[in-house]
Amino acid sequence: MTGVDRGPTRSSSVVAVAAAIVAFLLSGPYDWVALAASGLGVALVAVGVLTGRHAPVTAGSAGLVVGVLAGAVANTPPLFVLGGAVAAVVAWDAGGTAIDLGNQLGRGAGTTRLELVHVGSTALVGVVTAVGSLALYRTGLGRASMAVPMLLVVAALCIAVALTVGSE
Amino acid sequence: MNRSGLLAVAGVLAFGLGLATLAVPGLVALGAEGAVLVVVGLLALVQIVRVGRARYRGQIRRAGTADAELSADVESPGADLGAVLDEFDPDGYRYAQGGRRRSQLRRVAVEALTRSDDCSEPEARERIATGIWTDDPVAAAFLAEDDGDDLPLLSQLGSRLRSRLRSRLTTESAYQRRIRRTTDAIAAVTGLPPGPATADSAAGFRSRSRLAGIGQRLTGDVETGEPPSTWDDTDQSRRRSTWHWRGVSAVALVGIAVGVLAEQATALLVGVVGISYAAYARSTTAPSPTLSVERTLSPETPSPGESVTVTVSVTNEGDRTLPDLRLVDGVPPALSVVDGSPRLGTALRAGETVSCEYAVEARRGSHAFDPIHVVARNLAGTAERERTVSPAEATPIQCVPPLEPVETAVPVRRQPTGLTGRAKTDIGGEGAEFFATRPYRPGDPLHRIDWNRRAKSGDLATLELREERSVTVVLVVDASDGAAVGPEPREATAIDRSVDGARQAFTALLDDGNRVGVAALADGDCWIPPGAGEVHRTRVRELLATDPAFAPGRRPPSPSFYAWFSRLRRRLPGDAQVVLFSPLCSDDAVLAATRLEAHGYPVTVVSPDPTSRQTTGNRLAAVVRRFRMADLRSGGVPVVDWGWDDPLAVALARSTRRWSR
Repeated sequence: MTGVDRGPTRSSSVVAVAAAIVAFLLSGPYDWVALAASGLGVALVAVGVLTGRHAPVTAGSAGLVVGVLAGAVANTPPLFVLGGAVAAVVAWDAGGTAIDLGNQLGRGAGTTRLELVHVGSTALVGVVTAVGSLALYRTGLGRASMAVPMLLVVAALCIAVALTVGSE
Repeated sequence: MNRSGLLAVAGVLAFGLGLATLAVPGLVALGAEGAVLVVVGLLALVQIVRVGRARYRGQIRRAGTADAELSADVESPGADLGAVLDEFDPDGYRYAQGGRRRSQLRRVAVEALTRSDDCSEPEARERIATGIWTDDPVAAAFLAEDDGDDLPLLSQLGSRLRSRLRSRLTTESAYQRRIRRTTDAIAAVTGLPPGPATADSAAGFRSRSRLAGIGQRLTGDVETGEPPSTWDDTDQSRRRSTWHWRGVSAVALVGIAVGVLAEQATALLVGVVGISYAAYARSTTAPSPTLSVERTLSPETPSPGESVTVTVSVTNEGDRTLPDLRLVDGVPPALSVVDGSPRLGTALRAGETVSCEYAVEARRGSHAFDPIHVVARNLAGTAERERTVSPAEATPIQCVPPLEPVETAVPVRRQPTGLTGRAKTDIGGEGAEFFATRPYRPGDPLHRIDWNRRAKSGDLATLELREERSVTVVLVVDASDGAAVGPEPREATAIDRSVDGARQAFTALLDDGNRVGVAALADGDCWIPPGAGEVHRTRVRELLATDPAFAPGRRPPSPSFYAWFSRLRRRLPGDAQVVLFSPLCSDDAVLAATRLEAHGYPVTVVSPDPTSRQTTGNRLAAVVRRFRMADLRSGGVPVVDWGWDDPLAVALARSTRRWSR
């Protein structure tokens, strides 16, 4: 026996690439910038889970988010924007999980149940958020005064700073 | 509450207020909306940069797991070139002429020349100073007194340029190259076959090449923890934030910044998704798993090479579901997994049980399992807790191989004793082998008279035959830390080989009617006094298989030599002789042999050769082992050099043939 195969686990890798492709399909067709950014994103996520490195997965997911935003600016339907954003985050999460789990347990171990639970809960958070914010959007966020998004900005800033402060 | 907590609360409040404003338009009024929005958008962008940098610079952290599948790593002799050289610190001219390593190598060369070429020490120094001791110009120049300063300037410049260029192309510096060439030249003097002519990257001083450094930087975004085998306290659990979601707030920020600056409400939806995940990732309580484990083996007492199926069952004894549980079983270090995986990743509800199954290949010894390494993460994967669990009853894998005798005679020293047996003595008398002739004495039996001689010269002479007596032998196995080396990583060590040899020698000697005892040169107390009979045979068989001193896969502690030696001397019967099994990779074994010999116990050394020819350090260690063998032989101790790939019988037969010549 030559060693332990510590490559990224298969199921999560497949989920990561599939989610990246979903994000690409939801945002790419609406804008050239979105097509380029999310195409690059899919490629980078694939490279990341093939080589077992976090940096390409993160960069690729960032590319997918940029693609989704470019699509949003180019008037992609809100359902697709939400779907693309969730898919981009799931790709990032599943890719990172595949790499870390692969490093700790390797490809030979039975990890399917763990991966299903983890990716499933991430997807569930995304779906609940998407449904909630879509409902909010339909009730009139799109036409409300910019004070609402303002407050959301403040909220996001606070939480983001709180997370980064907590991490240092 | 700390700062981040306050900020989080403020964030949630602002979010709620935003939703309220949505429901009741005009709840919060803003003046000069456009300007404020731009400022806020820019602030968000600044924050994105901060988050992005934190993600880029900060490391994801995770628990590291051991290579439980593989048998323990085995160091090759001389893996640390510096340590081998440090034994040769020069006494006369410390650090003179070109630094410590060069002086040490010069000393090694002197020792090699005085042993192999039978020249005196001043002669050897003279030869080294003039460079006539080797054909290799690089080695000769390196150890010679001068530094090549009297060469013409231009050729000096040329050679320096060449060596610069060469060290750019290979990972070996010019200095390392000189040390390698010098070591090979010394090895040639001692008669060792040459090693590979290529540069070795692990020359011992600086093992990392430039390329490896770049690779390190590229993959340096993860900080992997140490496996439990290196923990100080395995009973304690360890908690760690994984930063798995670090940077997800950038999604929220970038969504909102783009939404505000481009005045595009759909982009804000991306921000909402980001906020939602940031809140999800905020839950950082690591679960504290309460687990019970059970391990079953089939069979529990295998024979060597047989595969043992190990089944590990884990039950969640807590009252909460464990969403993310990662387990690595503590496979005994000496065994390697041949089928399945000793690792498992699963989610486990309260009271539920999972199991995993794998197979290991049995080897000699009593193999205790290490505790199971448990890594439990929370649902979001942001926090993990590491701990170890062991089953309530730990059953080791017991593998006691049968005793088989070596096919040739074990070389015991000639020693007159009172008991008849099969070991040859230097006494003429009754026996089977011709010993000497002596003048006829009245009463000698007729069939012993040398009639040929009578016919030739007319003298009456009597043939004497070699008497065979039984001897008392104590087999001493070197199980010190210096002997835990072998030529192949993750394969047998010299201790394993020595134990194999001792098992064969014990059986052969006992079958020949000798009294045989066993001891180990080790930290622990391992001793069976010389004896005979079936009970004794079984005791020794058990001891040689399962004594902690011979436990494979673990690096033994270094014994305190003088305490060990005085204990052995107190126990050795006065008429005993010693067969020492040692790779001769440390001075302890040499010291033991010479001291026992000096105290009147005849010693024979059987030395499995664990040296390899891979690196410069390996080859130097082989040279030093040659020195030790030569010193022992010149002190009257016979040494059997047992090649790594040879059966013991072949090595013994080869040696006895040489001695009888």
